[in-house]
Amino acid sequence: MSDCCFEACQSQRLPDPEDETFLAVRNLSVHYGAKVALESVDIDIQRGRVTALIGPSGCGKTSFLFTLNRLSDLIPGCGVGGRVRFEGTEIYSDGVDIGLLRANIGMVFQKPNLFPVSIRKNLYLPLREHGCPVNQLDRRSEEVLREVGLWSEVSDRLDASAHSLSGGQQQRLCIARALTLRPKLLLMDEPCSSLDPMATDVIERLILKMRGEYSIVIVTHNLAQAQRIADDVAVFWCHDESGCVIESGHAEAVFRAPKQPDTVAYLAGQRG
Amino acid sequence: MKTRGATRNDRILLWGLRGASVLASSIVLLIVYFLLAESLPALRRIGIARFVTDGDWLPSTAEGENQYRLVPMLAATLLSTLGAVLIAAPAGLLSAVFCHFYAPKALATLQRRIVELLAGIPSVIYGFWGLVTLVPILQRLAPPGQNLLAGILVLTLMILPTIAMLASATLATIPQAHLQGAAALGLSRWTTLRGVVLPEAAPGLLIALLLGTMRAVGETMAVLMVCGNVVQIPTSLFDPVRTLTANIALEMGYATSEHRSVLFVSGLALMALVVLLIGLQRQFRRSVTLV
Ligand SMILES: Nc1ncnc2c1ncn2[C@@H]1O[C@H](COP(=O)(O)OP(=O)(O)O)[C@@H](O)[C@H]1O
Ligand SMILES: [Mg+2]
Repeated sequence: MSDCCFEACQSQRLPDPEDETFLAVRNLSVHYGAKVALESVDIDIQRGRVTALIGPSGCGKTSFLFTLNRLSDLIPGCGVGGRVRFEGTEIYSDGVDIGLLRANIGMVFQKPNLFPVSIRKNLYLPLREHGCPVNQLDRRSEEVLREVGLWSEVSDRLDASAHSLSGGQQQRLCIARALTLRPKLLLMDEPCSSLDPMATDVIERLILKMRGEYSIVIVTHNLAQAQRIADDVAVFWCHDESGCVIESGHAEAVFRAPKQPDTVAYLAGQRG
Repeated sequence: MKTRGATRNDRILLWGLRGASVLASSIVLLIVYFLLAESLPALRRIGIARFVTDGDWLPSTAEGENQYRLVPMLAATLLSTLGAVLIAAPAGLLSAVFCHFYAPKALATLQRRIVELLAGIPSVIYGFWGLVTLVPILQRLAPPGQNLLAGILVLTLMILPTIAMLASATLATIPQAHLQGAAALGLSRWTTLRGVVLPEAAPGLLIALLLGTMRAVGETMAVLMVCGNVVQIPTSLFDPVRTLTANIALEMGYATSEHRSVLFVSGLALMALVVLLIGLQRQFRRSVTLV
């Protein structure tokens, strides 16, 4: 049964991860109740690079991201199989400190999800939780706001409600909030899909600026965007209603010479 | 053709809504009007001061030397409500929080069903239960057993499910995205509750407290059955008391002229208390939503 899907998915199998691999995913599967959303995913994510996940809707890209910081634990009925190894730690083994894991792996969601408190408090909450000294709160907040280019826009109204910001500003504040903990890996789930082109452009340039300093995995529906920002690409596809990765590698190689016929069709279709 | 029918339906709906809101507000206005009209003779002839300064509550003496001290009844209402809210508010809020964020699913569902059932029990049943179960126990502690404490406990049981149910409904409206966002930052459950859930739910939780408090203020039958109905300012929890509502229920049947009018004044006082509570709640909500 799984053999057949494995055939259909034509996904690459990778050897056992080496110790220095940044993030290694092996034979990962996700199911919601009886429904299999994602199957036999093998992928290596490199440190300091931007990895774009592309592919049609409903192929398990969000589900994949949720397995990386174990946010899938929160979803009732969601089960995860396989291995995820982050900096040498099997994150699905017993005794993993999930709070610490999530401090190391930040996440930005599809829609801005700021808490209904002030801008300042949105940044203080994670800082305090993870033991930032009180006299460092302001300095660290300013630092991340500068990083995402929000400082000049909000420095005079840090105590205003976070929801009073524009959509683009909110999403950048979400990124800043994730950066407060200096995560080693940043997951972004279509961070621009609810934004206008100008705000999208700002975020895109922000990602380019962060590349190298941070490791980023970003889901995007915008192929042009993926081409502009990604070092690596993984293509998700659906077979028999369950998702899998059909192709992954250097962005340039995948975009210039896709190996899988589905990838060829997808890239061609998207380009017009 | 189609759009015309749609606009006509819209218009019918609009007039229906207008009618309903006029009806609703005019009922409130009518009630206030009648309360005022019936209280006016007492307010004019006796004056508000005497409701405080009179020595006693002697509303129907033969010689016509009536005394109308309302303070003990007001104190009984305030104290029984305060006591009940002090116990039921934390208990109700905690039970809702437990239900949503800590309890295993099966237990949470069971608890929700029980709370819904409790919230629907008629108040006279609570009074009944208080009389046959609670009062005998209290009687062993301090006869006669019908006292302020009995009233507080029965009111607590009555408003606890109200508060728990409304609080629970509020917590259910917290967007999943905010909870996921909090989890993705590695926030503990406690931080999530304090920093994310509470600011978001505060207005709804306040409404839950308000409705619970108003139910306690207005409750008549149950307190009448367990409080002992002696007109006095209680000096301990074991003193029998008579609330404003119980007083109205006990005496309205035979009260005439001035006495009757004074009972309407006490009704007016209850209304004023409720308005005050609503005002306080609004004030408080403004200060919490600004954080
Ligand atoms: N909470 C859930 N419960 C049940 N099914 C879900 C849930 N979340 C996602 N799915 C299903 O899993 C599949 C993959 O979804 P998702 O990971 O959101 O894909 P993508 O992000 O690529 O659009 C879809 O078929 C979707 O219907
Ligand atoms: Mg998605």
